[in-house]
Amino acid sequence: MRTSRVIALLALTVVVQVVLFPHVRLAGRVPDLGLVLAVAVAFDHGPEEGAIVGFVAGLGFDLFLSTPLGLTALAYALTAYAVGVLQGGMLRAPRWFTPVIGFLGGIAGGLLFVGIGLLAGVDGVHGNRAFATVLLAAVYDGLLAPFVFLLVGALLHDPRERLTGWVRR
Amino acid sequence: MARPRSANRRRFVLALIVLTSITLITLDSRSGRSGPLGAAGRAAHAIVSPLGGAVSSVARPISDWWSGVSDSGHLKHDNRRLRDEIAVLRGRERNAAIAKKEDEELRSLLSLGQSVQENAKPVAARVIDRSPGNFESTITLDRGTDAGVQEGMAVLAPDGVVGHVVSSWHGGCTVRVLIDPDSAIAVRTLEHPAVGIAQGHTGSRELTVADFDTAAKVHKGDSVVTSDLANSVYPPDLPVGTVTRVDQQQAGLGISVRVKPYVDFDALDFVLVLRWVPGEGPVVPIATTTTTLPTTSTSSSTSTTTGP
Repeated sequence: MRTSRVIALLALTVVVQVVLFPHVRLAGRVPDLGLVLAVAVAFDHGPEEGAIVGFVAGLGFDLFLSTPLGLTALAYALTAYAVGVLQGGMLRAPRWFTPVIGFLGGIAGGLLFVGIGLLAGVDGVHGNRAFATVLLAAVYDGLLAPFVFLLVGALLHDPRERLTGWVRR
Repeated sequence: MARPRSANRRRFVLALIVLTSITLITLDSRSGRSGPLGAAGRAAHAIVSPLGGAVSSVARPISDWWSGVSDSGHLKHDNRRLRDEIAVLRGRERNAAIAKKEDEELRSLLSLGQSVQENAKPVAARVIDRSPGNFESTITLDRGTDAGVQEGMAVLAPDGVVGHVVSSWHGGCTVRVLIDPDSAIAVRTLEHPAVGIAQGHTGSRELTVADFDTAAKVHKGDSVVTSDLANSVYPPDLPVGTVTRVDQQQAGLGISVRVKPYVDFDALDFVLVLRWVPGEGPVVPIATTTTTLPTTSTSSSTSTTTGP
């Protein structure tokens, strides 16, 4: 049941990212909706679930990009895993904290994308403007984060077992 | 209460993801988008493209409104409210003017289509989507392999060159525009026979030609057109842009030139895909080339280049 919700959420995320956000840019940049989703899942359900969601969301997004397939997937998965590990024993974060998590996750994910892209020989991630792009996209990620966290909480969160993963079910 | 989780299992999942990703990156980088991984991308595009076209027509007024809001900066509350209302009204006004604008663009494109020679075999296409990522500049068109559109074909707007097709499928194709960081196009100046390669840069709206010969007489305001140097995918003599800055490189290595494209890539609605094969010669008659260029002199020579 919950796995089907996760799949539906992933499909919706990729479609919204590819179809809608190119028309709703902030300072010419689009957000990384899949990254925010993965970070939210990692924060609520742990690093393993976050990494899997990040990998699938990134791979879905990669299908529509001209950068090498797997680049976004790896950046999203590593970021979500790190967020899940760092989240540790924090049981309930205040609402104002989610934009900060989204922003920091956006910075980490963007820098990972640029770093791995440089290693893979992607031309588009060269230059100082790449860092400005990462920063602006992270701000957009931070603005979206509260809504994504709410959505993840509503669809995937089980109040009785807050930290119970859905992967084993 | 949290269920205890094996650290080994977590590490195994992470290692599996990392290895899978690295394998995919390596395979995709080596085989390009023509391999099986590219086929998956084309299939995904074919599925989402119809939705993208529908959303594009609906989202344009929203996008205009959003642009007005996001670019307004920090304003006082009342000022912001009034600006938002103005942006909404402007969005409605633009929405009402879309039909008129499309009519003008189609007339312009029709004129361009009639002016290109028979060997161009142009296909008119509509822009249905833009790049979903931050590190590339691409557009998606509504014509694909079913209309004879193949990878490598040049794409033209009434103002000048847009880019070339990098992926096509049944019902659509992706075009890498000139300002994409991976874009490289052989160009020459119209006023003087200087030849170079114009490249895009991340986040920049201009092109850079870093390798003009030191002896080349390039000036600000000069017009830049395509060159048939090195079997370029672009037919020669198509308008590209205008020179905005000329810098002498250190140690006399050449001249670095900034070129502002004629085409406004954010405002594109309709384009022509040229089903032209390298070696077939110019597709635009000399008279049309000179009258199409916004800033060029009509007395300039348009002979094909002979190399740097």
